[in-house]
Parts: sequence; C-alpha cells; structure tokens
Amino acid sequence: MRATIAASTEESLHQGWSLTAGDRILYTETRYLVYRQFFFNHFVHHRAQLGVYLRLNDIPVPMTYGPSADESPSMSAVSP
Amino acid sequence: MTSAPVVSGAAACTVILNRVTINQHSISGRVVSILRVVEPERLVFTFHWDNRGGLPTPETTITVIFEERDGKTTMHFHQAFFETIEDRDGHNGGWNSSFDRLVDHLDGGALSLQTNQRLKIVSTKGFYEYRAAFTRLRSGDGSDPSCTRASSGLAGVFNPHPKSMPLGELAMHIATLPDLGKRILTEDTFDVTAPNGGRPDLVFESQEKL
Repeated sequence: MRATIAASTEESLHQGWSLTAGDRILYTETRYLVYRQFFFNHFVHHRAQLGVYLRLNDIPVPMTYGPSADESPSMSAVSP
Repeated sequence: MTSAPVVSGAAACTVILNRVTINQHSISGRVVSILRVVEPERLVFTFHWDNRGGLPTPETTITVIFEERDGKTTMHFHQAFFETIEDRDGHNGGWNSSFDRLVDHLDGGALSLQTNQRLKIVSTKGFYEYRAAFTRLRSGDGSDPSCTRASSGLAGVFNPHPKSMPLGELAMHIATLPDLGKRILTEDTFDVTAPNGGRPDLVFESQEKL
C-alpha cells in the first residue's frame, strides 16, 4: 500500500476513475477524490463503528484520534 | 443469609455476593467471568442469577470504578444490559442494601457511605432492544425475523442492533478496504458486477479454528 502510494504521480491522481456495472459507467471522478471518498472516508467511518462494537463488549479500544479512555483514564466519560 | 467472597484483589477489593431473599424466596447469583481487573481502580465482571424459570438469567456486565477524591474513595457502579425496565429497577433495592452492608465490611461501621446516586444504571431504551436481540443470537435461535443480518444464528455472533453489520463481517470489511484503496490507485475502473464484488478471496478463520 505504501509503495503504491509512493509510486502514484500527481498526474495519475488527476486522471478520471470510473465505477462500472459491466459495460455501463455508473460514476466517474478524479482518482484522488475517489481515493479520499471511497477509501479514506469509508475506512474512518467503519473504524469508528468498530470502536463502538469493542466498547459494547468491554474490549479495550485502541487509540485513533489521540488516546482512548482505556489508554488515558482522564478521557473516560465515566464520571460522577 | 449466606455470603461468599467471589472476587478479591490485592488492593483490598472484595466483592461479596449475597443470597437474597425476595418475598420469602431465597435466590442466588454468581459471577460468570471476570473481564478486567485494574488495581486498584476498576473491576469488570459478568453476572447472572442462577435460576429463573429453570434457567440462568442472561449475563449482565458489572463495572465498578473506584475513584480517589479528597482522600476518600468514591465507588461508581454500573450494570448493563437488562431486558426490561422492570428487571433493571428490580435490582436497585438489592444493590443498595449490599452497599449499606459494605460499610460494615470495610471498617466495622466506622466509615460512612454517601447514599445518594450510588446506583447508575443504563436507562436508554434502545439498549434493551439490543440486548434482547443479542441474547436471541447467542442462544443460537437464528429464526428471529428481526435478526436478518445474522441469519446463520451462530453462537457468539455480535451485532449491536438487528440492522447492524455483525462484528466479524465489519472487521472483514475494514480489513479488505485498503485493497480497494490500492485498486483505486492502480486501476482505472471498478466493476461492481465482478464475482465476489471484485474483492480478494480471503477466508475468515475464528480464533478457535486457528
């Protein structure tokens, strides 16, 4: 993944990228925008969802944006 | 009244579960599993009553947090999830009487407990519905039409709501997303009609199977 990102060029990121259904084109956008929306936004969305699943099962939640309540008690919402 | 020490830690933390008498019927419960012990501040365990209609009740998770404040200890007590509001509220009196006895246990009554807001119980209605759906899944009854996502009815399948993606499916989805990112960078199109949604052929193995 890192190697693929490193090998990407400014030019290739501005080229069009398409979602298709067989011969039909459903959607076309620049590669960098597709990367941001289909991968980054999508990934962040589900990773946060997984954090809630872990919490509901009392499994320690790993750090994402800064320490979680398991890594820093001061972050805990459990208060008087 | 009988009692038995169930959980003990080096930091003077002992949980006593009493046999409780309700309407002249004696009932008993037990710690099923200890999930976390962080000395001296946190204790998390699951609990069930031994017998309700011939079966143990669904497990609830109890979290006890001890917080130092001005040289005294404040105990935060939390129990979830209950299937009904009546079941939840029925636990109030029992725990409060246990906490009253905790004073005697700690220091022969020389200490005093503040009695307000000792019990903090989840009251969001949605949680009962989650819990009920979760319990049906764990019991292996996949026939419940509200649990359509978890049609396998496998024991241990977790989804917090019948409309939610089960845990294993979500974890798999996240694990395979970087592959989509890579394909966006290296290919020009993505065909949604491709076999298996164009995803790599991965097999999810349970920890037991590994």
